[in-house]
This record gives sequence, C-alpha cells and structure tokens, in this order.
Amino acid sequence: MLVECLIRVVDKVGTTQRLDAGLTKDGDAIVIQRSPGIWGIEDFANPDWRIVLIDLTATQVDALLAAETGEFAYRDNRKRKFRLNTGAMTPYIHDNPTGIVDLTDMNMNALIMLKGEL
Amino acid sequence: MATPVVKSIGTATRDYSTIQAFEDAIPASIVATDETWTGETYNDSEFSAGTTFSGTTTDATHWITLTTATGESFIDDAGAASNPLKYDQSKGVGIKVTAAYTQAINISTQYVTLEKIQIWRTSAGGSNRVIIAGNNTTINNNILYQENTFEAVSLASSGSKIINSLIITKSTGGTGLELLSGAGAYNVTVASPSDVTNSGTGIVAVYANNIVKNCCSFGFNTDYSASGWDTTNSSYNASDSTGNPGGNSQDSLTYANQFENTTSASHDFRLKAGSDLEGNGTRDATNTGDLDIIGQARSTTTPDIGCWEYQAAAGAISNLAGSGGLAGQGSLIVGPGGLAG
Repeated sequence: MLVECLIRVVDKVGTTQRLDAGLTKDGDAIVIQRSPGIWGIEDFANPDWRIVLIDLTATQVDALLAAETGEFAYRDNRKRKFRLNTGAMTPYIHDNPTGIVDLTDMNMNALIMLKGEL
Repeated sequence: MATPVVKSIGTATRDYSTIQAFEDAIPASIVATDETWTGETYNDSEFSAGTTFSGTTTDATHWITLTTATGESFIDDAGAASNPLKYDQSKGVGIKVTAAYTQAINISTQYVTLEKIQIWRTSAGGSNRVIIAGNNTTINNNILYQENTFEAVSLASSGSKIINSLIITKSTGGTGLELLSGAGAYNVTVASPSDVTNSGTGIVAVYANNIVKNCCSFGFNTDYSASGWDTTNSSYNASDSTGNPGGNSQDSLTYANQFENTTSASHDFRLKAGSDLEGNGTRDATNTGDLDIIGQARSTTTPDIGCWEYQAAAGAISNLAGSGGLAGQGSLIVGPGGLAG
C-alpha cells in the first residue's frame, strides 16, 4: 500500500545514555499515514524530518512503528526497533527537503534495517 | 523563567497532525533550551495512533503538557453537565487506539501532564494499556476507557498522580488502576460495567506507600488490593465491598445506586441523586482545586467521593482553561465561561 512516512534524518541526542536511547534517530519512522496523508505545517517545515511516499506492506508498516521491548538496566527502550536506510535515500531526500518525496520506485525490503545493539 | 512553546495538533492545518510528531519535535533537553512545551489538541477528527513520550530531559519547571485547545475538550461542551460521563469523541478530543501491541499513551519522560482528553484503548492483542507512565506524571480530568485485559492506567512511582479522572475497564479480567510505589490517586472513579463479570482488581498498589484518597471502585472481583497503601494518607474511599484503604471509608455500597447508568451499552458515571458518594469525601484543594472532572465546583466542606461532584441544582461550572492550568503545574484559571449560575 502507498503510505506517507514522516522520518527523522538527524539524530536527537540525549543528555544521558539512558535518555538517549528513548530519542528518535536518523531513519526512524515517526508517523506513517496512508496516502494521501494529512500533515501539519511543521511536519513539513522541521529541517530534521522528511516526508516520503513509499510502498509498504502492512507488516512493514508495523515493523517500522514497533518499539523495542525489553528491560535494560542502563537505558530506556528505543522508540523504534527498525529504521530506514536514509543513506540510500540521500540523493532524493536532500534535494527536496520540504515536500513529499516520491520513493515508490525504491525496494523497501532493502531499506528497512534492524538496529544493532547499543 | 522558561519560555513557553505552544503547538497545535490536529488534522485541519495545525502545527502537527499527530501527537507523536509533536512529541518528536520537542528538543532533547528542554532544560537546556529553557522551555516548557504544550501541545494543544483539536477535535478535528479522532486521533488513532499510540504515542510514546521518552528521552527528553525535563524538570519541575521545564515540563511538557498535552491538553486540549480552548473549547475542544468534553469539559468545554455546552452540555457537559448533562452529557453521559463516558468516552464520546463527538463531545471533545478523543484518542481511540485499535492497533495491537500498542499502548495508547506511553510516558517515560518525567514531568509530563495529560489533561482534559478522552482515551479509548480497544481490545486488540498484546499488553496494551490506556496510559503507562513513569515518575512525575500528572493525569488530570481525563476519561479513560479500557477494553483490554491489562491495566487501564499504570503509574510507576513517587511524584506521579491521577486526579479527577474516570477509568472504565470493560473486560473480564482487567485492572483499573495500578500504582507501583509512592504514586497517588485523588478523586478517581474506577468502574467495570455491572453486566460484565470482571475477575480483576479495581485499584492495585503493587509495592508500598501508594495513596488513594476520595476514590471509588465498583464492579470488580476485588476493589482494592490488600496491601501496598500509605494508610496514613489514604482515606475516604468507597466501593461495593469491604477493605477500602485508610479510614472514613464507605463500604459495601450498592453499585446501581451510585451512578446514572452502569451497563456496558449505556454507561454514564455521573453521580445520581441519593448516591452514597455524595458528601462523604474530604476536601483536597491541593489536588482538585475544589473542582470536579468537568470543572463543577466541589463542596469545600463535604465534597463527593470520585471524579464527579453531584450538583443539586444547575451547577456552577468553572471551565478548566489554559495550558498547564490544572493543579500541579500552575495556577487554576477561570475560563471564558466564568462562573455561570
């Protein structure tokens, strides 16, 4: 299905290791809406975000929005277990920072990545 | 003094269309930026996604509030005093989360306040709660509806409290409110519909030093857990069984005599005339500001138990207006409606 995905392209960096884990990082999906989505003014204006039009299965949507689970003594759970490889999107998402970037030709299976251990 | 940042959230050309985007836009440390952040939701449509507040550095003077814009809450509806007290998004901002394995609101950031919002967590699979929160969370004047078997609301520890709120748990084994250690509940109504056999517990204190005051629990197999309470500061609680924490409790009440309607299909948890909850609470201006869930004035001598204050005649309503304007993070502001006779 065609979806519009608000993704972070610049890491948020926390003040402690515990808090840092709870912040979104480059490639994390913040919001996913079926296309056409309804977006706010600042959803487009935030320089740390991009909105991309992509073709995902329902399973892929669930994966991108899923939080990490587990009990870690030294840090919070991460908001997202998977991320998108924004490096592969770079030529496109940096050319068009404020509109919806059409990435429907890209193979999403190759772009969705499980995050490594912290 | 911290700079207030106020953002609109909704689907009619607001700053953000989702609550999660609002949360993600908050800087990593609002102590460093010397800000407070307030998200004002609009009832443009029903919100449907779960939201996680995590990672942000805050403190007592650099806080985050999620509330409603002026006129957008069930509290602000012209018929608030006569509307059934239940989740009804047509009356004000509502969040209905249906996705499996998703908490409606998950808060690990400290110093977050959630107020004047209705939230419905449906029965999809997974450990889904309406609200799960860590330290220093304040939940004011909300209607919280749980159809899942997990706790409707779970508050972790010291500094977290729920005030003037309604929790409805409609499941066969669900807990209404879970307080872990040193958390507090003040003028909260916790109910399981009378036509549902619920094997769960209304209000559970998991560890120690939890306070429950002016609260009521009805329709559960067990209304309050047997231990985990600060019995010095817990008092004036009610239920349809015995064993309510603290002194001055109202025991073994008849559920059907307390509320306008207690059934699944037509529930309405406003107090009815003659309810045993009327006049049997104790004043707690610190937490309630002497107001009830919709801003009706409470008696300053013999207030009611639970989230609703019964009004013998047409009630005086002081709207709960202004960001951060509820007890705990600022002053109480009488809204544009003023004191109506």
